[in-house]
Amino acid sequence: MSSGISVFYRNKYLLASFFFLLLSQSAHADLVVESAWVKLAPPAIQMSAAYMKLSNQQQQVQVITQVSADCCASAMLHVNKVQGDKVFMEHLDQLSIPAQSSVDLKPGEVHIMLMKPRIPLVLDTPVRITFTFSDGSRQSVETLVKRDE
Amino acid sequence: MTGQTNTAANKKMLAIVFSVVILLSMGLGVVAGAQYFSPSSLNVTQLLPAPKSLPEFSLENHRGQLVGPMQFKGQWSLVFFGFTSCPDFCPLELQKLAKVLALNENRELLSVVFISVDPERDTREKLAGYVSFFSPGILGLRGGNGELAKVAQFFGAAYDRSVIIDGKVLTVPAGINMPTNAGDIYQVNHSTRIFLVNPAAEFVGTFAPPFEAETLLADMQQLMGR
Repeated sequence: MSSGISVFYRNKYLLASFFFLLLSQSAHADLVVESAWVKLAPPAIQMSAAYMKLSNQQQQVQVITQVSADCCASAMLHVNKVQGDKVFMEHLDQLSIPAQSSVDLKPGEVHIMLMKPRIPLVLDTPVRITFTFSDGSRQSVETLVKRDE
Repeated sequence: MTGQTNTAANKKMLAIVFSVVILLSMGLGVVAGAQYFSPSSLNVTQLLPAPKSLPEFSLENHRGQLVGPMQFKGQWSLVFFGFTSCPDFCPLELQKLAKVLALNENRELLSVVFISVDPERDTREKLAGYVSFFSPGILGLRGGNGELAKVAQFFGAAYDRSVIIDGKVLTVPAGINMPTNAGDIYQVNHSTRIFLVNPAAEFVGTFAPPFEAETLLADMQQLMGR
């Protein structure tokens, strides 16, 4: 009997740990990433940009607080703003992807600016972009350098 | 006598009706012609009330030659102000302008001119590689800050540059050299408009994004065909 109870308790703890793990996994930020690419920059230009569609299928908002790229000294989230006839870039401290919706990073709008590449970003160069979320979790996206057609 | 009066009255009426019909037809013709040839049928281009001759200026092209307003004689030009370190907006616009050039059948009638307003970073070599990347038909121009500001001001193309020095944002207006301690990471805020110059080297109109290459080309074909 006592061994039966201990097995039950052991299983109960196992079960609890399993559910805890499941919950903690689902609480981690995790985006569905589609159509990710890095724009091929003209020769000798030390700037480029990455684009993709980020979808949040979770029930809560996911907030990107930092972005980095393995190819480059610096990566930043930027948005183009037009004021009157003038266009300027604005740095985004964070990017929120609301629950059950998506955000398109596309030319002329929100983009990831890539600065000072450490390697030549020629056609088909693989680039890994890593997002850090407000909960401290991270997610990496593998992309390739493509020509903007 | 009454019969004669009636005939005269009928003739008079007939003459009035004919005159009205002729006048209406002429009016319709004028309206239809105006519709066909008027600038309002252009898709994205806004024409100036009157053409403005380009002022005297001296800039360097991406081949290292000095050019002035005569460069614009003999073909239509689409002029865009930007900078080569622009990661997103300038490539997007230049790509569309390159597409307009590629779709245009009369190659010698249309050109694209990219004027860099960031001469400290945009050397002639860098500018040459940059414009050629988009199309061999794009001419790159650069020059001293004073000369660039003069040309930009003529078109009404506003721009400035902003840099963070010692934690403070410093805005450098058009025409002023970048401070030597600015480094090579700074912002250029520039005009989104594209300026249209006719083969007589006159500024005749502008258009602003968003636009598609095909709609702009339709406008240009209409203007070039006049």
